[in-house]
Amino acid sequence: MLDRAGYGHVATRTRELLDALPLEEVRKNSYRYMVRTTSGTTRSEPLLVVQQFQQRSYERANDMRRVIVAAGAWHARLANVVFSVHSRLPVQALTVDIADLAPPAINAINSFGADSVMGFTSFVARVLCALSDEACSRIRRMYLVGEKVSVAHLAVFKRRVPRAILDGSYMSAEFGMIGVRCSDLSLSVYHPAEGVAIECLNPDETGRGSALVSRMIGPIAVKDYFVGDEIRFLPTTCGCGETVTFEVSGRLGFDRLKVAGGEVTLDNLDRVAHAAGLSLDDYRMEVANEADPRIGVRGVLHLQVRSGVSPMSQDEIADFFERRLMVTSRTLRALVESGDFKPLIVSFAEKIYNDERKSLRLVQKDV
Amino acid sequence: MTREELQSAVGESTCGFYRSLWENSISAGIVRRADFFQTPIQERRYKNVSSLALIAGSAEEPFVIEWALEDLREESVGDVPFGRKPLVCFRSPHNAVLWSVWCYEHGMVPLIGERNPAVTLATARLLLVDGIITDSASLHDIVPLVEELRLSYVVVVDQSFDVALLNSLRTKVYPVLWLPETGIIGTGELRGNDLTFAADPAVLLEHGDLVVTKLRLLVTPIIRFQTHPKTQIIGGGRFSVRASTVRHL
Repeated sequence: MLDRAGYGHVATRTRELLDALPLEEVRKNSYRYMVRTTSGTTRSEPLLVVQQFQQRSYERANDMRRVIVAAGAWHARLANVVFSVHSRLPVQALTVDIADLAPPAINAINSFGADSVMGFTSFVARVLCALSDEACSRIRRMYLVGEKVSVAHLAVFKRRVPRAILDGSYMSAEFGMIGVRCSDLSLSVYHPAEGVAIECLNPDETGRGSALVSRMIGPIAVKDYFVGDEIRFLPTTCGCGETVTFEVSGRLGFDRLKVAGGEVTLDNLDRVAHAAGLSLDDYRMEVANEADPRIGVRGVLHLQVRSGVSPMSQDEIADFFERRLMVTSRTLRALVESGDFKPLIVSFAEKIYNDERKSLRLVQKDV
Repeated sequence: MTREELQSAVGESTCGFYRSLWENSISAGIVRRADFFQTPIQERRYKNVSSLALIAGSAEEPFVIEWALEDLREESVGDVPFGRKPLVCFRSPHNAVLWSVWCYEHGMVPLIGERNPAVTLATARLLLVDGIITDSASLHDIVPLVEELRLSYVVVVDQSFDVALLNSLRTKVYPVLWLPETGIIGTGELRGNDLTFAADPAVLLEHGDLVVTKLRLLVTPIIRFQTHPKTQIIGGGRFSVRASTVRHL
């Protein structure tokens, strides 16, 4: 089984895939390939992989004519632009940056007259909150990737674009497309993408277990890649005729959680907690998305610390963690100052673990 | 396409952006960034094709511009020995995406640099990029990479150039004078401390302040567009850029 730690090997091999392609193939079919990266964490190097795309990836913008591309990572912006502009009919794809979401740049984006928004769920929510009411009223369709649509996200979408159709696919930067939706499926429910085999490892009594995916990337077999998400298979044949359907439950209980467009990792949490003199049994963090009328979705982190184990006050612990805890590549303090996250909530408790989640130090609260 | 053919095509278009400017002109038909700022992109589109749109202009007067894929394909940086996997590294995310799409249109699979230079350097090493397309500011960040990897080229795309830095690189450097609105204006040649550009074959130049006409029907055509790099026309389509004065438009 491959996990992210072991993925460097795959990345090396996929670089070789690109190197091994005849130059003529690259020249002729460059758009079939894409170099993707992830920022890594404080403990790991950035990852890199070359993806080979299937036609299905290019069909996401078929109903869009003027699309705003909203993604944080630049390679994700590029990917969404590439997918958009290869639609059957002409498409204008406008990339936006967080820095563009305030006057006067937002006025230019308003005047673009977008009919759709595509990108990372939290970023899309933020764009919708920045756009004028008139600009939002033209949005008919949204294509969401990269993050489970939470209750907080849905609240923003319902308020800003109540008539828009929500669509999306299930993919990871490292592996590529994993699941696709048909019109019969609700959000977070997918069929396996073309060429992808998916397994549910160690399902519990509700059928939920870890997603393992396999596919060929060019001539290279990626087998049993550990996505880090929890899934369950739905036992019915879909109205479209597809026999395999699965629901993504989120990243409950794993070592990294996405919240408000950022990623909190257990490695990072443990590192900061260790520096604060806390033992592994002494703390637990809940992460949640909270709807915010100004920026869309704001991240909320709640750190529970066992009573009596730290000489620091709650405010001192909050300050200590905010200055050191990384959310993707920025400190929590920087994200609090920019308004993307609320100040860290710290509470002392006699009992911080319930029985079912005894070993979980990092938990998504709003899935 | 000649200038007359371009003006004729624009004059006959259903889009009235240039007609309106020419009829109300108080500046001898010169088009400025302010004209783009004051006109929404949908009112200055002269063709409906798939395109990449991005925010350009100044922080005070930003506007949307559009580049059709077919037009990016026509944009040439000259005789550069391109391979298959360049690093595209720009300070502006918009320019980074635009030049990455340019790479695709020219048969390459780019690695787009991220905002964090450390991530860019690390992933470029993992991919073993074979060349770099960058701007002057980003070039300072990635000098170690240029020294470390066996690169075939470094294309520097900008409005100003650090000649001393370009001269210090051991990889062949290709300077390109470029604005997001106009595309490539000219390709440069570095001889000692002299950086001289040859105007792009599809570009007409006027005046020392570089008024540009692009002889292609772009989504928003460029006809007598006022740019601000301080230049000296040498003649025969060649011009030089005074590097220290052209950083900010």
